[in-house]
Amino acid sequence: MTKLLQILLFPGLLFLLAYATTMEFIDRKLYARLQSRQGPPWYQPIADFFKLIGKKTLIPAEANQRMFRAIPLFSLTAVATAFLYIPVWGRQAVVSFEGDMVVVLYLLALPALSSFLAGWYSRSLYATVGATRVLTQMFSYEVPLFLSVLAPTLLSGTWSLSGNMAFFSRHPLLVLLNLPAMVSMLISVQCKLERTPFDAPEAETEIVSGPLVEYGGRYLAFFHVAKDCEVTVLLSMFAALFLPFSMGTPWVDFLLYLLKTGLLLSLTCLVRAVTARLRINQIVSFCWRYLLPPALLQVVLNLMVRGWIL
Amino acid sequence: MENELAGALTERFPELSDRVRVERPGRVTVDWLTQEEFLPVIRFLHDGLGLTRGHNVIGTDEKEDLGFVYLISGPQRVIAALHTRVPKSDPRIRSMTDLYPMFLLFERELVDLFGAVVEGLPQGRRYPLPDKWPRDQWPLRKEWDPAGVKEAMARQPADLQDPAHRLSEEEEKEPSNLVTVPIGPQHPSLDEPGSFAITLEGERVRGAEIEIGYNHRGLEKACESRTYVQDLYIIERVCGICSLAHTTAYCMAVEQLAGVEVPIRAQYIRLIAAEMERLHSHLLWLGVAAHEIGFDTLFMLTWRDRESVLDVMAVLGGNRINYGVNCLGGVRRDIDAELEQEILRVMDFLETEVQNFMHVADTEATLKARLVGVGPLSREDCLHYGATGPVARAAGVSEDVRVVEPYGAYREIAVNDITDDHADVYGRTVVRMKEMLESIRLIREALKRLPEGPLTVRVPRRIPAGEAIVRVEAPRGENIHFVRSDGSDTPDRVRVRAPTECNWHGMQHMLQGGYLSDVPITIAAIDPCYSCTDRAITLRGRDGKPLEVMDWGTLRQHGIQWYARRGIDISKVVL
Repeated sequence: MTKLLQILLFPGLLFLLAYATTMEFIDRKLYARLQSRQGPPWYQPIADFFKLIGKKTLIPAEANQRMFRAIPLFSLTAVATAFLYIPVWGRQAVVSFEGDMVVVLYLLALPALSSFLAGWYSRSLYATVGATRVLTQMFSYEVPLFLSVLAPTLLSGTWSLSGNMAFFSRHPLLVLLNLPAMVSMLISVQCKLERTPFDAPEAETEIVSGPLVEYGGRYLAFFHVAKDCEVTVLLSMFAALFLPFSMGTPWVDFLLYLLKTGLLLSLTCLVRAVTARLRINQIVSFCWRYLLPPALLQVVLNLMVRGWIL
Repeated sequence: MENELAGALTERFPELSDRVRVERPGRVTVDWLTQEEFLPVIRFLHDGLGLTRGHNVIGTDEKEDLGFVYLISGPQRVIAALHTRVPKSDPRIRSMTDLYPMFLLFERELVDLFGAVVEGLPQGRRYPLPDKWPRDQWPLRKEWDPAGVKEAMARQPADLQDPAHRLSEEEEKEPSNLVTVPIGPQHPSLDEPGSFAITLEGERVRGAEIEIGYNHRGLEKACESRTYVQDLYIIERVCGICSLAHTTAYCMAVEQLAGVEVPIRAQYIRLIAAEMERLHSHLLWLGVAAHEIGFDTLFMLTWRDRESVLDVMAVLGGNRINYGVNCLGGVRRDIDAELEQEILRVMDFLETEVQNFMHVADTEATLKARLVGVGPLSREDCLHYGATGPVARAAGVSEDVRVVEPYGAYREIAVNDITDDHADVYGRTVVRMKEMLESIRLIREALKRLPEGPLTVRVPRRIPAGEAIVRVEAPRGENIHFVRSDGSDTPDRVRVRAPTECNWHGMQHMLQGGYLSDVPITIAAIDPCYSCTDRAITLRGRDGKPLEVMDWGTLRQHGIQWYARRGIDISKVVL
């Protein structure tokens, strides 16, 4: 029963939704201030959500009706499930088992896939071009991202996020060893979240808004919520893996968690504000050329350290 | 210079000696030639004397005949105006696009607006009139009656294919891995309507079909039925950004015909206003360009800074844009000591800001990755397609009118020629940024030297008969106005050639071989001003709906009813 409450309320779904909404507000406000704009009031993301819910929903005649409706929910469910495996309150996640990291990585690959499917099933030219870009981009960031995530676990010897956190709180200095993978992961996250300079899949001035161009009303609203949650979950995972500092007291750790994710969000927001959008071919070559080598190096390094020291 | 050109011409063609005139520095006029006489003359000027730069082809109505004025120039920077005429009963002329590729759009205008039959004109979309406009209605002929259009529309054969359908049919015919993506007429990256059918192979652009002319408003026709003073208000509204460049050119043309000299203080104020306009135009462009490549922060910052210029313009002219500083014979408003201080303060602010933007353009890796090598137009291509303004200067072609043919206060304050050798979008960015710094210098210099004196001189209501061809450097490039007077208080012909009209010719070349992602920025990089170029009185019927011509009153009624059906009553709004 407590497990169910934890899953549904805190630190599960309800907390995720509330925190994701707050994160969106911070992101937008900070972005606006960096551009010397006023920015939205705190309730803007909520107002946007309810406004979209109230809008008439149009589905293109040529689109696959069932898929078109199901995809946004599919995306949201995947992200919300992944959140349960990430430690928020204390060092222990709501659910965890040896190897939950693989599940999280799998679940986090789904938003990009559903974005592709949404574009593909919309049967619109811009959406199709956007969908192809989503897939192209996915093939470039997933490998460095997986390797970066793999690297700290090679050190800790466990494939569970909670276990990982427990290991690094025992050996806090070893965190510094993961620096190359951390940088690689941070940029991969930016790329996975399709934020500038990696927002070619939804480039407004080129392909209108890419895969989601035909979406409107409540389906678009759910896509937006899924996107917000994806930001939160990815940053939470980053914090759990590369900033695994904790005090052991649940509420202190929770405050630390908020601080860590808030800082990470500001960092990705800063990157988004000071760069121009890269072309898709530039993104592919950037990922393979600059993100992959540090991640590979880290894997080799961590294997050696694991073999010699621990 | 002009006398040498005239001499060379009469030496080669002695029979023209009474028709070659030199009335002003920098202009050689060749009076009415028949088609047979005209062809060898223009060929001689092109091949023999190197007048390879085409500026414009102007159609005129000569009662029983159609007149055409070809404006060409060469390295000596003297514009030769060749007049040729053909009877309206048989209005056939040879296309000059083989000698002057930049005449393509101008000759299409002759077909649409004057009903000329241009032999050898390459196939292509109609310009500037809508695709479904009747082929026998030529608005710029004097005898044209707008009332006849409705009936002519009804007479049209119903099988006039919509270009969109034509495209999709072609696609069906040859199944391949080519996809055609429409950019426009409505698209987030376009600020004004224009249509670009981009054929893609993957992300690579294999072909581009450009259709412009959505904004044709018939301004030139409107000018013919109003007085010179009333026309000033129309010319002010040719363009929303470079309105002052247009009125300056128009006023200079009328003043030249009337033979009046503008007071020196008015010339300085015109210079200051013109450079302020260049500043806000280039800041606007920088913002648009940044937005096209997804750099929204730069977009927000440049537009914030642009506001400071607009505020000054509002104080100077009374409006943020369409400030109406110019009037015939001078300027309407003065710059007092308080405004002078304000302008100097804004200049100090903008100087640091522009230098900051230049630093960003110089160091920001993602920005450079998106601009360098994109939309190339080499020096040779610029000359071939007749590119003008920052596009040409980015390729090292220096054709700044303020430098080659100084006018007004630019005769006293010399302008430094700014060129670059990148010959791509990045070069155009650099040129525009440096031009902003140059504008700031010019404004400070002009304010320092600002002479005392009157603001206007009287210009007669009736303008003596004659022709004036005036060039002015607008923010986007060379702006040519042709005004012909017949001695009455209304002009006989006003031809506005905006710089964008020249820059369209090279667009296909710039787009081909690039990436889809580069299309918006490449289009934006010429700083296209659609409304200047397409200078409607019609609304096109949507597919399947009947076509109708709407006048202003019905359009207003239509608007009121459209909103009324949606529960909004705007008929009570007092304007």
